[in-house]
Amino acid sequence: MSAHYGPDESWPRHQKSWWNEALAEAHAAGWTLNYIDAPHKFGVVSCPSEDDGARHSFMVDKTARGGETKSKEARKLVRGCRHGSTPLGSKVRARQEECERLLQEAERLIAIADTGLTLAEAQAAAWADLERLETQLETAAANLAAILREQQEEALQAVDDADDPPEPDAIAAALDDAASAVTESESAATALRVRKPKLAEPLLSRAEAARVMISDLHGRLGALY
Amino acid sequence: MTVKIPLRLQGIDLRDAEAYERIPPELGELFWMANGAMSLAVVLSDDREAVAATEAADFARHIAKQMSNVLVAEVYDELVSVSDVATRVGVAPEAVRLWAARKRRASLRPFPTPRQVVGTGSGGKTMSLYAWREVLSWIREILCTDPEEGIEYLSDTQLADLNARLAAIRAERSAWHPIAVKNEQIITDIQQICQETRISFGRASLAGSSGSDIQGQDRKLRVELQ
Repeated sequence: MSAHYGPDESWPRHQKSWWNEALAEAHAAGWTLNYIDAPHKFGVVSCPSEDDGARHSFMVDKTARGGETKSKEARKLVRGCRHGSTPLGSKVRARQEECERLLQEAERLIAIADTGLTLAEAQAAAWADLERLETQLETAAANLAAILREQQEEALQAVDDADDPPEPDAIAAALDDAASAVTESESAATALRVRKPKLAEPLLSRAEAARVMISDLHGRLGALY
Repeated sequence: MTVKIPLRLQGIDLRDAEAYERIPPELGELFWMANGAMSLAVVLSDDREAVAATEAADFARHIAKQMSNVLVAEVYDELVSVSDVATRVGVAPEAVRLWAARKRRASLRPFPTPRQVVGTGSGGKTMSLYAWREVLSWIREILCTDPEEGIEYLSDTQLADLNARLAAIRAERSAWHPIAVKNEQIITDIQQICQETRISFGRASLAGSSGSDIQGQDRKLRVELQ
């Protein structure tokens, strides 16, 4: 028992919502339904191709497994079919919907491009900053090197200009002689302090200062050599 | 993920709505459709590719067994034109032409090479056809969009393997099979049938006759029939 339904007629409803959506899309696109209503088959839907050789069609089952996925495949078939004895006005609507779909796709791609460009610009700016810093570092390093070279040359010049220092042994001998002289002067001042204390005290103080100086110089000599 | 394996059928033309009546309920799990001259039974499996390919081979065996003179020819490796790709992706055909010419979007991964080049019949112009599986993979990777969300196809290797299994099923169905019946018995049966047929035919032909030479009448009648 089967019945034929054209695009201008109202089609029987399927018990599954996903099939109803696919059937509605096919109906709107001008397809026809051969309603079989067998225990396992709902019917066969065919496109309005005038060329029998190019016709598209698909079978709608009733409760078989995977109905939802099949209904999606059916919708793809309907959308991919370009045979169009569509009802009056639907071509305009189809074009309008196509335009809207294309524009939505264009906007989506523009958004992707915009995001990509923003990222690319940020990356380019970061690279520019990095290059600028590297240039600054190179310049600073070059300036520092020039200054240090200049100072080095000055130091070298100072070394060249300086008098040759005496040998350490000579300095040590001089300090030893100085220490002996201080010892002798302290002895003389100590003898003088008995009768002329006011005269002797400053001499003893000077001797003490001289001894401290000699000790300090011994320290510097030890550190240097 | 759903693995999609379209099987191209031979021996049935689903452009004719009445042809769908030949499909037994046991094969209702398949999605049956006609894409122009291509009659297809599409396997849509939620299992992994290898399992789905085995299911497809099983379905092909069931089709050959349950649908007289119908066989699965091969896995239908859909070819698409630049225009088809543009429609499916939702971009202008010129954009796809530039991808295919590798003038756009070719730096990361070039557009797949055509599988076929066919003439358009006018002015020596040609049209390139691309394997949709390969184009889809390229679109997903390069454009980050998915015209067939949730659908996976077999790889080249899996497809070739399944085609080999389908060829084996076809060969199995078309081979001659010896019938295990004794020839002597068949000959005896046929002789008996011939004998009975001649007698009944002779009687029928003699229903309005008054002669006694039944065998003679019978031979005479047979000669007349020839």
